[in-house]
Amino acid sequence: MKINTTNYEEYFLLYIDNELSTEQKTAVENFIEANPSYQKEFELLKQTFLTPEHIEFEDKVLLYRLEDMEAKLPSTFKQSLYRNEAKVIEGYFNTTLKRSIASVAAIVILIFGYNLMPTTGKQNIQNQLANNTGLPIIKNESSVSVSANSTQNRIAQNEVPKIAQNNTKPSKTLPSIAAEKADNTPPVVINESIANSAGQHVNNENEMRASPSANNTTVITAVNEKITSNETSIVAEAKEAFENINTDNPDRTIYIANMEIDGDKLRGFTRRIGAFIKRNKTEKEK
Amino acid sequence: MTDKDFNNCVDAYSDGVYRFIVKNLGHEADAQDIVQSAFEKLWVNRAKVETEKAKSYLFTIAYHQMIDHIRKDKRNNTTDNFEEVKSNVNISANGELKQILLKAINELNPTQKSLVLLKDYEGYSYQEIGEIMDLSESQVKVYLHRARLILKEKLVHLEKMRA
Repeated sequence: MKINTTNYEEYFLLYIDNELSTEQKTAVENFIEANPSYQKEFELLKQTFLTPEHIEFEDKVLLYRLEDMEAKLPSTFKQSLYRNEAKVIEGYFNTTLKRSIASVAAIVILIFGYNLMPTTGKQNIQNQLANNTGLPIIKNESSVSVSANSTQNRIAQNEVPKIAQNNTKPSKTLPSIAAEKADNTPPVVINESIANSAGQHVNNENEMRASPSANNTTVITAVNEKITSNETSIVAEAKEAFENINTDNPDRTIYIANMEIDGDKLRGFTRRIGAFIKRNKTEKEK
Repeated sequence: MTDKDFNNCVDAYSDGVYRFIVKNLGHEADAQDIVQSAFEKLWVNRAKVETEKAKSYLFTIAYHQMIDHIRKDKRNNTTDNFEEVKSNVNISANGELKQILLKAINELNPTQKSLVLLKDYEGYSYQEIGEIMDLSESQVKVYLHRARLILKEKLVHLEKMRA
């Protein structure tokens, strides 16, 4: 590398910055000697070099440090300063786990509640039937048809024999309906046929009952005798059909999406969870 | 680094760091604060910092704190303290040229000012300056040369004015 008239400035600057080797420095000096016209330029650039001036940091005392100056406490005293936070026992689960369990329990309870709902509904209807014992049931077409339909629904839900028992004793109109239902084993079909048949019965009965409102019972027995005589054979068949339907072991299978859960097994578990959550709540409230 | 090494560093470098900062910042109290916190940091990290690298460590920390300070100052819109420095700092100035040069340097931007100060006052190499200021060696060279040419032009201009 050689210093020439195009690159001299950089060399001058590097010279001033003391970034050149002694060899290069002499090369720069030689160049200036050879080209005195650049002397002025070189001197000017040299003047931009700031000669260090002495500025003192007066408060050095502030900066001095000694290891001994650092406060050191005896370890025994330090230990006396330690504090341990009292351990808080928060039950078995942390909050997120609690929440997830609670949500699962809520879902399970919802499903169970849904399953339980019809049985209580059934009981209500059974009670109604027991109270009504035939007399007021068949007061007008609409009420009868409605009750008939609702009973059919219950029957579809594995409660055939109970209703059948209820019906056979007090009201002799319903056994016939039950018989017809039992006759038609597929429940959906039952609905239609019973609706029709029940309507017919009611029509018949209403006609019969239109005049003797006071002696209802006798009229009903008459009607019932008619019906029973007509359909005794059907009732016999119906009894057989009832036996086929298992009421003791109601199907408690729970379907959550594609998952099949045995409801009976889960029931105790969910109850325990429910009890646990309740206990937690009460404890918290305390 | 032992506490003895540290105190040797205080003796050896505190003036230099302070000069670098006060010349740049133009405010004595702020410069003192920065020097103090730079040494504070060195003390905290004395286990990690080798004694040989303590000087550039101090300059690096001080430089960055100064940059932060300048940024904050800009936001607070404080006035230029150049005049204050001139009166307060005891400059052992000799000659008019020096005064002119100091004035010219004060008109440079903070980066250029720092480059000139680190080069001329502390005699750092381009590489060392680059490490302190987070610049590449070639950047240091280019920026510093640009600064020098600006200073030269100013000197030429002032000389012409006087002539």
